[in-house]
Order: sequence, then C-alpha cells, then structure tokens
Amino acid sequence: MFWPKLLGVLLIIGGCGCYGLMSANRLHRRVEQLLNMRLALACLEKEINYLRAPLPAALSRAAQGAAEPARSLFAATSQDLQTREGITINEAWRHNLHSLYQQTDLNDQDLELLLVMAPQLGMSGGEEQVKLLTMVQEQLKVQEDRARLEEENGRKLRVYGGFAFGATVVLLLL
Amino acid sequence: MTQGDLIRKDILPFLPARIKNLFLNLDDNHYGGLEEIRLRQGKPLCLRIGEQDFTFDVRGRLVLNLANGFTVSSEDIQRTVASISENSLYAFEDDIGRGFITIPGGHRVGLAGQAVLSSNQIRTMKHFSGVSFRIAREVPGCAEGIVGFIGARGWPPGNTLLISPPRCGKTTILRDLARILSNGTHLHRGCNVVIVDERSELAGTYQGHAQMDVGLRTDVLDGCPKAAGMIMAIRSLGPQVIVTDEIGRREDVDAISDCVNAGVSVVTSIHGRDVDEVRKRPLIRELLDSNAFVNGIVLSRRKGPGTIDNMIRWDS
Repeated sequence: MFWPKLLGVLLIIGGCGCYGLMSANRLHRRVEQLLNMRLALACLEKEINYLRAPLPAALSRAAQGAAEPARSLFAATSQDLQTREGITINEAWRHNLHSLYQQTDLNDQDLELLLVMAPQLGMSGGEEQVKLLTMVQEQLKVQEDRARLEEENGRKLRVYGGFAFGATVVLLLL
Repeated sequence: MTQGDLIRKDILPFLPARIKNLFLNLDDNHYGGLEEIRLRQGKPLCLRIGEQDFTFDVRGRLVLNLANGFTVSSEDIQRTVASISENSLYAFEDDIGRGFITIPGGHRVGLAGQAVLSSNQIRTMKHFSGVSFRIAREVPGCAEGIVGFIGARGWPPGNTLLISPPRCGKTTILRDLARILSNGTHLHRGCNVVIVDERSELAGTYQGHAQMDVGLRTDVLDGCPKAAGMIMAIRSLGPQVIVTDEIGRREDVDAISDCVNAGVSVVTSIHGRDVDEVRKRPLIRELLDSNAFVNGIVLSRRKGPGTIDNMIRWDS
C-alpha cells in the first residue's frame, strides 16, 4: 500500500502545485498581453497620425510588428474590413475582440476598455483619432501597472499556495 | 462592360445590404440612364435616371412616386459613409472638407452633414445626413466632332471654352477632349496635356491613379486649385494644352492670361446657358473681350446630355 499512497500524495501535491503555477503564469501573461496591446495601439496611432493610412492598411501593418493578442486582433479586423461586405470597424473590432477574448488572459475590465474605442475608431478626424488612441493607451498603462502589482503580490502566493494547499489536502486525507 | 456591370462593380459594394438588394432587380436599361443615387436620412432613396427621379416601393419596384418610397435610415447613411471612407474618415479629411470622396472608378460621392470649422475653413464634416453617388461615365469619342472643329485652324487647337449648364455632359466631353488631344488623331500627332483637376472629376483620380482614360501624354494635377495648377504646369510639365473645369474666379482668369502669354492652349468650361449669359459676368466678359478664347462650344441637354447647341469661332 505504500507505493500507491505515495503516488496519490505526489499527484495531489503536484496537481495543486501546477494549478498554482498556471495561475501565477496567467498573471504574468496578462501583464505581457496588456503591454503588447498598448504597443500595438501606439504603432496604429503612428500609422494614422503620420501616414494617414486607411484602417485596413494601418491595422495590417501594425499587426506585422505586434505580438499576441494584438497581432491576431488587428490582422483579423483588417481582413474583415477588406472584404467590402459592408461591415463597419465597430462590428469587426467587437466581433474579433469577443472571439479572441477567451484565448487571452485579459479580464473583463480590459475587454471593456478595448470595446469602448470601437464605435469611434476611424470615424473622426486625425486629431481626434490620435486623442482617442492616446487615451486608450494611457488607460491600458494604468491596467498594466495594476496587473504588474497584482503579479508581484500574487505570484509567490499562488505558487507556494498551490503546493501548500496540496500538502494540506494530503494531511487531511491521511 | 455595360453601364450596369460598371455600377454593380463600382457602386453597389459601397451601399448597405438592404439598399444593395433593391438594386439587384434593376435591369440594364435603367442602369444605362442612371446618373445619381441619393441617400437622405429619413427621406426616400432617390435615383436620378435621365430627367426623372425614381425610388423603390415596398415591393422593391422602381416607381416615380417618391412619397411612398423606400426610406433611408440613419444607419444606412453611417454604413455608406464608413464604406466609402474605408472606415477611416481621418484618411479622407481633405476630401471631406471639400464635400466629397472619390471612390474607385472615379465616381464622386458628395456628402451632406455638419461642417467642422477651423480658422474659418471647413476642416471636415460630422453627423452625416446625406450621401450622393454621382456616376462618372466615359463616352469615348463623344468629343470627336468638337476636335474636328477646334483643330481645323491649327494643332494644338486654340483656347477653347465650353459653355454649359450643369448636368449637360461638359466634364465627360472635356475628359474625352483631353484623351483625343493627348493620343492624337489620324491627322494630328498627340500633344502633351496637363489636366488640372481641382475636384477630381475629370480624371477621377483615386489614390493617385487616374481611373478614367485621359490619354497617353496626359499628366494630372489632382485636387490642385486651378490657377495655381495652371502656373505650376507651365513651369514644370511643359504642356501644349491645359485642360481644366469650371473657371470663374479672378485668379482663374489671370492664370488663363498667363497661359496665353506662355503659348499654352487652354481648354476649359464655364457654367452658363449661352454666350450672352456668360458675358454678363464681368470677369468672363473681360476675358472674352481680350480674345483669350478662339473657340466657344455651347452644350445643352436638348437631345440628351452632351448635345452641341452651337460652335463659335471668335477669331474669324
């Protein structure tokens, strides 16, 4: 009976520990994804401000230099707009953001922030577009700073907490 | 390619789905005469075919009674504006400030809405309430008769003024004149032509490319003010003929005088029913009295757009 019990103990502690690690990684990935999204929006802002490139081209070019999830969001939105099926940027941006959301580590607040810009994106003059994109980048920076703080405070707690929780469960079962 | 194919390819993709579907029932006869499609918020969709305004009824049939026509919604307008501007109003700010956007194919889309001013100039527009598609058409050869007349006394032809009320085909004729002068005829070699296209109508330029056939030896100054463009062309492009549309301001008159002094022919147009009406405008009277123009062509819609009412020689 020793070996099966030992295996069970290892599985419980290992499983809980892994869950803690994954949870800690999610915190880290959210910080990275917010940063990537902010940098991609900065790139889009430059395309609009300096080149006055129409959104399908501007999004496509910004996607090339961006990291996930911004790359997929920008590329898919650009592609939708190029189909000329009468789809608006508001619809394309919302649709692709919702589709992508489940695959990211962004939270509801981050999503809401990115959705707010959808109706205004592209649909005003150059100066207003720059103001809009600057505002969203600033708000994303605030979210990013919060996420970084959350990561610093929560990372060790989640990693050690996972293993500690697993050990507690083992002790209770024994 | 028929006019119907052209409109299906160039115009319909920019219309919202529910309006686009109505056009699928139209036959080629209707497409052939279609000049304008007007969308006004809360008003019936309006199709200018020949001399009459049509709309679609609830069953999608083309009817003359506008009162019971298909009503255009605010969403239809917003979708259309988004579509023609590639969802990027900022990229077309200068065009919108001038009141229109040119779409592929050289068709001009006029915009109505609230003007946004900056330093007393219209910077852009917002809260769009109307969109008007003006269908550009090429009629190759429509100016051959005029070329025969103006080219009879020498080549390149002398300064020529087209006098025409709106919607009588003067832009189409000017475009064909530019093409023929540029390509040459069986009697004459082609000339270097510069089109000064202030409103992007003559060459229908879209993203720097002329969408219309304006000839092999033609350069286009797109979106360029007429007077500045004529002077710029003389200095930098060595034209034999300058073609431009709708003169009327003091600076246009001065620029034409500069062209005459530089030995460059000008082919241009002006709004008016006949020579007498045009002569009532002091600036134009001054220009005509100075013998700046040797040929005058008067157009009307008497037998359809492009009817030549009169061809005048002022040098004889």
